[in-house]
Parts: sequence; structure tokens; C-alpha cells
Amino acid sequence: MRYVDEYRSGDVARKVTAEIETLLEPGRSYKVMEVCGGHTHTIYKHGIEDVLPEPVDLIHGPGCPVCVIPMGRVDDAIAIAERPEVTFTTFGDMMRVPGGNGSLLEAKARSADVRMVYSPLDALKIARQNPDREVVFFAIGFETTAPSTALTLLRARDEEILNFSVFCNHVTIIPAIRAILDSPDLRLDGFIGPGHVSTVIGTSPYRFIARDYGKPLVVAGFEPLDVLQSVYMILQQIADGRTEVENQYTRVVRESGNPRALEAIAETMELRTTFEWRGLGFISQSALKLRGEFADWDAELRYAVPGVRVADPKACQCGEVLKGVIKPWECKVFGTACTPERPIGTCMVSSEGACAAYYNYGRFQRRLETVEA
Amino acid sequence: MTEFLYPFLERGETDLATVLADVEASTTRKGDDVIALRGSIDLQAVAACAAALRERLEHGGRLIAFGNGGSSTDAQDVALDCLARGWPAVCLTNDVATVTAVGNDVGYANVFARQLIPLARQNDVALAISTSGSSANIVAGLDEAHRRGLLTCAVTGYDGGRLRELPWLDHLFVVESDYVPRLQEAHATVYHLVLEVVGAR
Repeated sequence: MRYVDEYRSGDVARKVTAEIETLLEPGRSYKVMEVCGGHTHTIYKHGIEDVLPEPVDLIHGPGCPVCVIPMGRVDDAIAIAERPEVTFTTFGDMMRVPGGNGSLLEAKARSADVRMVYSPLDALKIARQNPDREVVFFAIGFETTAPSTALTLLRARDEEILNFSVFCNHVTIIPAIRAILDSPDLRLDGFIGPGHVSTVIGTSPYRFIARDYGKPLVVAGFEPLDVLQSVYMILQQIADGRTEVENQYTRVVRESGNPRALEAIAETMELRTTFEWRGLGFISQSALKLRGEFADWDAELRYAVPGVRVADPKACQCGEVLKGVIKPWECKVFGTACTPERPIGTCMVSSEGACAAYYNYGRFQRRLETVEA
Repeated sequence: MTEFLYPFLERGETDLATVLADVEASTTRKGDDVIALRGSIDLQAVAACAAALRERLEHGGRLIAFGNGGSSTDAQDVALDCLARGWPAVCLTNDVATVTAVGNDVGYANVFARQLIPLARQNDVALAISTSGSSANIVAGLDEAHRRGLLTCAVTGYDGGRLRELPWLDHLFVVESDYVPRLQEAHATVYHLVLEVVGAR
């Protein structure tokens, strides 16, 4: 397929990995973190870890929006969904995320009107077609998906659709990266920057990573050669003694991002003082809520939600996986008590979650074979 | 264009109102968390433990406390507070030479059990403090204390860990939290309450 095959060429991949080999300093290891679930998915789907030289270790950061939602917010969503007048709409992977009181899918089994949608505009359409129902959209995601929620809110306002509201859980990646850089647990050598987020925010917000923390960051695309080239560019910076923000995904990402999308977010949303992230705890100014002008469409104001913090199950080590402190297969319940069919932790739910990616692309089996050998 | 999303990037922490709001929210949250944990402490269990401890102390027993890391400093704290009330007490992490010698020569799992073998006497009380409740040396220490007839007490976090499975443990306080800083604050409340009820000699 044109525009896809050329980014998946095995010959080119072998040449890039050979070039990467030449950049390695003998006896040194390199830890590179990707902070986008799409990259995690690409890395496992295409076996990129297997072709990289041994000293290059890819660490999977908190880039999967479903994975970083704390259990308490899922419980809040279920509390709204179980109201008799509510039709609760959500992206599909969010339905299986366990809260302290089961998942939205289980709430649906208990007769709650929970429906999967592909876009917030689908939720708005349901509201338009069902004026006797209160339709709530579970807004989740990084800066990537916030514009679609924002545009839907603008449309709801313009069309005066008042039986629609948004349960806003949008988070922003920059504060999370800063929290990781401030964490004493991790020693990272560079970052693969999130391609989708960067299409919205551009590359300039990452400058502090190079300037203040002395780490290179390369914004990358989502095909296997994109990721490999980005690793090469990071290692080249390290070899040259440079720390810069570079853009590998030039075919999509611009330095200033997408101004129209940013305007839509700014018009409808503002920063929360603080927000809880699974695995990272509370991070200041790391999430969005609806502006006061959109209070009529704010589900958090319309409905009383429990708002209780719920600790993760003790057996679950999603927190450590999300920070890259352990690999998914090192979690005590990975592949046994926790599987994509019956997830305990969020990382096993979404296809962008590190645990689900490991599991679905056979990493678990390969690891077992290695151990048995 | 992204200033509204990441105001901290350029301004740093010079925006006093934001910094103060952050500090206030953080302080309130931490206060709420530890108040809830302290509210969950079983006061009847505290009273029962204190009565049993006082009885042993009045019959010539000593408090022998132990723990790892932050819990070791809690163990030192409870031992000192006990001494301040006129009762004999010792903490098994005070003697660095012994801890490092046993850890190096025998194994870290034995650092408390091996000290209890020569130290423990009838009427003594063993108090173990462990956030996980599953540390091997804590379990081994309590096991040795039980074998020697000591009153065995433990303060843990999470779900109680392996200590919850010990059928012979005399007094167990589980602060059910997985956040170590908060649960250790509640641990301090537990043992200070116990000593408050024990009173002075």
C-alpha cells in the first residue's frame, strides 16, 4: 500500500539498525522512553525491540490515556452512567477499564444505558435524536483528542443541545513528562516524542526537556521506520553531545502545531489545579476541565459524583509499568490473573497499553521460552 | 499558542497565586488522607494491646521494637518514647555493627531473629513495624519471638501482608493504604496511642 509500505521496508530497517550500531559507545546502555501509546503499539506489533541492539532499551511511558485514568474516575463515570435518565457514551476501550466497583461494561450488564461511540460527535448525534434522554460523553485522552471534544462542545452550544454533557478527563502530556524527569526512579537518555499530540501542540513545548533536563527528544511518526529513525536521531544527538528537540514526523507535525485545534481547546477548556494520574499521583496543572461558559454542558456540575480516591489492587503494578520502572512481564499478575479478557489493571485493557501490547504480540510466550531455555 | 496549556513552562514557579493554590491543594489532600487513615484505627484493639503490654512491662519485661527503613526509625521512636515513660525498651536497628554483621555473614532475613535469640527474655514484648507486612526479616523476627514466648505485636500497611496470615500473632494493626508516607504517619499514631494508654511507670 502506497505511503505505508515504504515505511515498513525490512531492508531499510536493517540499514538503520546497522547505523544505530555504529553510534553506540562500548559498555554503555541507552534507555529511551516513548510517551505515546501509539508508539508502544507499533514497537510490539512490528518487533522493533527485537531488531534494536541489546544496549538500547525502550521504556514505555504513560502515553496511553486509558491507562493513566485512576480507578476513582471510573467509579465516578459509573455513578453517572447508572442514573436512570442518562445515556452514557464512551470510547470502546474505556468500557472494560476496571474501577473500584467494576467496569462500565459491567454497569451496562446491570442495565445502565452505556453505549460505545467512535467520536464525541456520535454522542451529540444520540443526544439530538433522543431529546428525552440525558446523553453524557466520557471525554478522555491527551491533547490529541481534546480538540474533538472541544469542537463538539462548540457545536452543542451553537445548536443549543442541552441534553448533552461532557465528563471531562482530558490530560496533558507535558506535565507528565516533567514528573517523570523529576522522578528519582528513572535514568533516561532520551525521549521519543508523541506524534499525535505534537500534531496539535507542535514541537516548541518540548524545549524545556532539552534546555532544563539535558535530554534529547525526537517527535516520531507511527510506522516502524519512523520509530527506528527516531531512535537513530536520539543516539546521534547523544554521540554528538547535543540535546535538542528534533522532528522526525515532518510530514505531519509543524513547530507551531494546529492553531485551530488549540483555539478550540482554549475556548472551551481550562486547566485544573491538579489531577490524579495512575502511577504518577497528583500532578499540578496536568488536566483540563470545561470553562465556566460551558457549565451547562459539564457533567461534573450536572451530576453528583462520588469523587473518591480508590487505591489500585495491590497485585496490580500498572503504576510501575507506566513509569517504566518494570517491564509488563515483571508484574506479578501479568498473563495469569491479568489478561486482556479479564484485566486487573488499565495497561492490559487498551491496545495502546504496554501490558496488552506485550500480551497480544506474543512477548509473554517468547519470554517464557527464553526462561525455559 | 500553548501558553494556556502549559503556563508553568515559561513562568516557572514565579506565579505566586498558582504556587500557593498548589501548596494549599496538596496540603489539604494529604491532611484529608491521613485523617481518614487515623480515623480507621481500632481503639479497642489499641486498648487491648496497651493493657497486655503494660502487664508484661510491670512483670519485668521490655519492649523490643524493629523495622526496616522508615519503619526502623519508627521502631527507634517507639523504643525511646517507652524509655521516656520509665519502661525498659530497645530497638533492634540501633546496633549498626550487629545489623551489618548478621546481614553480611548470615543473611539480612536473620538480622532481627538472630538478635532476639540472645536478647529475648520471658515477659518481653516484640513490636514489629512494616509497611508491607511481608518483609522476610520481620516475619522471621516475630516467629522467633513467638517461639520464645514473647507477646507479639505488629503494625503494618497495605492489606497486612504475610503478617495477617500468622494465626498466633497477639496484636495486629493494619493501616489499609498503599501510600507509604501516609500509612507511616498513621503507624506513628498507632504506637503513640498505645504508649499513651500504657502510661508512665
